[in-house]
Amino acid sequence: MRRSVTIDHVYLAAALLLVALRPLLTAIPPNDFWWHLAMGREILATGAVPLVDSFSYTQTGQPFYNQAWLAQLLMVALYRLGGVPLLLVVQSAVIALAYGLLLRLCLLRSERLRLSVVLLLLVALPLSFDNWTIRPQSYVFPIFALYVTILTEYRLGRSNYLWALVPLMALWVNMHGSFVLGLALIGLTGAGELFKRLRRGGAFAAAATTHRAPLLPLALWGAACGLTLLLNPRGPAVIGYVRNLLSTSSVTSLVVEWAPPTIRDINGAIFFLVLIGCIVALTYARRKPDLTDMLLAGALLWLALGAVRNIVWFGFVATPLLAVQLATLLPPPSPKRLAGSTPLNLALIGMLASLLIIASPWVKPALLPAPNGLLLTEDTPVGATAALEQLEPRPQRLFHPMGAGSYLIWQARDIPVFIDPRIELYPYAQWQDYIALSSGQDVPRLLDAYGFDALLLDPEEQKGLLAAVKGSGWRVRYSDARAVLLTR
Amino acid sequence: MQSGEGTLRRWLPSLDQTWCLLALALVSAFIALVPVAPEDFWWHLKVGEIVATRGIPRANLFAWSVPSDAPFVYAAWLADVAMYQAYRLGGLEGPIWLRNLCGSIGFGLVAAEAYRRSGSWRLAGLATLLAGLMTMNNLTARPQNLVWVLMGLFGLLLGAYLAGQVGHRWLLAAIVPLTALWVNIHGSFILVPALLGVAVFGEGVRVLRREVLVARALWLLAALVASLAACLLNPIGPGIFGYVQQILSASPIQQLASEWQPPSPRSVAGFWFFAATLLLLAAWGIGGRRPSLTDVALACALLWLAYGGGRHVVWFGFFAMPMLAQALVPGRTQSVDRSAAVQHRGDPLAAAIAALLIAAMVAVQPPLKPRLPLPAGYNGLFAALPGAPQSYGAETPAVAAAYLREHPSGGRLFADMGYASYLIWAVPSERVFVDPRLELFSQQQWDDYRAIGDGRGAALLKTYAIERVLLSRGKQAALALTLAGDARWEREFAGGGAEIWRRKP
Repeated sequence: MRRSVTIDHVYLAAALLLVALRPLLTAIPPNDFWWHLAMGREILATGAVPLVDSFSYTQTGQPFYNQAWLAQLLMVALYRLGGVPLLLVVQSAVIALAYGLLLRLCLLRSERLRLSVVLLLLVALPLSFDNWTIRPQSYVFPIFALYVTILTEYRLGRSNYLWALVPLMALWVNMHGSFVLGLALIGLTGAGELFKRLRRGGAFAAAATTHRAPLLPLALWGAACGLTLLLNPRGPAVIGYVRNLLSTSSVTSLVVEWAPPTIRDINGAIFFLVLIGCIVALTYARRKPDLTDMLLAGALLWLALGAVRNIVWFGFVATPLLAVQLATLLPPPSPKRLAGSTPLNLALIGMLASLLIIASPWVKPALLPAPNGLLLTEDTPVGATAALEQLEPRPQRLFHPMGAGSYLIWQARDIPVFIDPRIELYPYAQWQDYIALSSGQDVPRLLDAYGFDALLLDPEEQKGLLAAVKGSGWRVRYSDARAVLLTR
Repeated sequence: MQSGEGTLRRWLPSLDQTWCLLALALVSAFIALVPVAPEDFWWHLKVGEIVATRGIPRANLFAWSVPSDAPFVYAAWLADVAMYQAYRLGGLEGPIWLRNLCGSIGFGLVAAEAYRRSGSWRLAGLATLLAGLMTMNNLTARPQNLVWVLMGLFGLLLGAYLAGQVGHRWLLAAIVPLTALWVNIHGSFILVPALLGVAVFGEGVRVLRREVLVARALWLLAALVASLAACLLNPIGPGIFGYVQQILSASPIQQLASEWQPPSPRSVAGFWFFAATLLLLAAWGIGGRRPSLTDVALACALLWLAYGGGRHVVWFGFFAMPMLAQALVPGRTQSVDRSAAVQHRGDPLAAAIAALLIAAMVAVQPPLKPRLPLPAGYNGLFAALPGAPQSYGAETPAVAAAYLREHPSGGRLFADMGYASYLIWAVPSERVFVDPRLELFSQQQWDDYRAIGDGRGAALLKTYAIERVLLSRGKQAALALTLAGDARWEREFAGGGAEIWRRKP
């Protein structure tokens, strides 16, 4: 029998293709990209994970915990294989995989395809798409999604792949510091299921399923995951690394994505709108939510309230919960609903797929205008770095924007950097000086204190400093729209 | 016939009521224990004196960095007068009494509304405690905190009207004087028409869903119109709306004032705000008592406001915590079972506990508080102001102000913003660079103020021809270091956490 392609297939394809499209259309910002790549190159060259800083002249020799070594190796391998375009395509696939898993989970829970697609596009995506840049964090999105899927299916009695949590954790603990969330997901799932058993007939009776997932295997595989944490180059020290990262004042107070969300920027406003939407949906749903779902959403909501970069995790657990609750407000799906014609539906899917081709990194520079048509964001100092490499002697005490530091680490190996996005490496006082100097404050003292021999400045972000040094013994050696290079 | 003992028991509090009283006593005592920060107090007290003696001012009076006739709206003039009259009645402890009284009444009204909604004194106590916890960084004496009482009354009135417990005549009769009073006390008066508008929307939808009669929504609309009209009863008439808009959009306020920044779960008050939000979310989602659409709309509107600025969290607490109490009541019906309330059983033990709690609330009021055996470090939180021990924060530059009074220079003075507020009251002959009237000064001035305070703008001292600097050692240590390293400046005074520097002749 010939299979038909229905509008539901179009919905499904639209969701996945739109998710895949976004990373392709996003130019790579320098901040968390190049220095990871450079670390990967270093590991490949030396066969060891660096233990101290060797990229800066301000903190050289200081200990640096390079936890994401496996993701860095993956990045540099992809780069050597296909350059920036391949990294973009892989990023698109990684994001599509993660959100495809989320869509599958929503579908599994709510049995409503269109609702699941709408929630994915209107809730999960807006909550997270500013967090999809190429960096180790985004490489673990599929792992997080798999954790949520495996644990959910287990507690609902749909499948038992708890064993898979262990190898996933082995990958996670070597790719990104968010691995602790894996243990949190297991713990919260266990706590929720345990509490439901203790309170059968109580507040969650309406939501409780008849299935009782055995808790012992969950506890055992959870313990195995805990032991798997040790499978990393520094063993148990990885826990200290995470704790140190979360408590470093320079990290939590200086990095925007580590600050709590605020309605004053668009992403924060979206997050709080979704939160209010969650309140309304949970209040008016015709069925009480599942306790484990609520525990997971509540815990990750708390995490999200503390730091913008954690909103993405909340999206992964809140979307299935919303799907389940909102499904109770919808009438049962009609068996006679419009399926559309197969050729037309195929044409629609084909049109959407053609967008992927247009957005692919080999095609888009020729077809799309900036910034979507760019592979690298405009603040990547490509031209200025080339000019720097022409200077003789090479500057050894360069001042530059933080993001440029990341690119310099990769591109100009013989020019050490002042500062770069490894926030926790640099002392808080140095960050304060960096901020002050960038905004043109206390310029003569700070220039003398650090003994800078060259300045690579962003004429938009550091216009105060640029105005202060122009005509005061500094000579412009290179200039473009986003970078000015000066030497003494 | 009731026995004498039965009559007595009816008048005694029950154990349930003492739980609520305990929560209220904790919140009230905490309010009374919190030092008054100088920023938003002293300059308001000075304005109160000016209003009481010369009428409402309309221009800058205190700063030298803007023209003396630069227009400024003193919208909180009635609160300023109230604080000044409290000062005249009770000296410097008078405004503290006023703050503490408003706090106790305001949070008492939260308890009353929570009880009205839930029929449970214990849940009312929980609501009061949570509302107090999320407000614990906003307890200083200032105009905003005088309207706690009005907000409590408004919440109670609106809630009772929406529940059908108060008729439209009461609503209309109360809303006009309430708004008229509020508009002259604090800029938050705009919440009255705004929340009435949200309630009109909610009830309108409920009318369409045939949940309530159309008359209820129409009378609510009438109350909205009446409140808008009552907003005009202030010295600048409709200009008050422009004032509110200016406050909400003024860049110095939005960027510089920490209390206007979004709340963070990393602060204690922020933690409780977000925790209570999560609890409300869970209670509405899981609890058997589904809130009305109007309640959800009101809570969400205030939630959005609170997300925007920490100083708005208090309004969310006043309105939403009684809703939380209602949601936590076991059962599935909308209406509250009041049988427990009817069967009130007074308890002598509860009466004794209540008497102790009330005594404790009285004991932490001035002038009794300094006689309590409080921890030794507690006294260090306060400045030694004659006649008002343990009342005003240690950052009040009382000693430095006394020095300035005795050694006036006539030159331009740069002072920490909070210090400037105190100087406006204590040394009126000194004009200040900037003060907590944030919207009076330009963004550039505030940038310069911060640069000087951070020790990074020594050149600006010359640009502004500043002759003297009164700095806070705690907040402006970098400036002290800069001046110490600059041969053109010399320190002429140090004491009480402050330093005074002058430019060498």
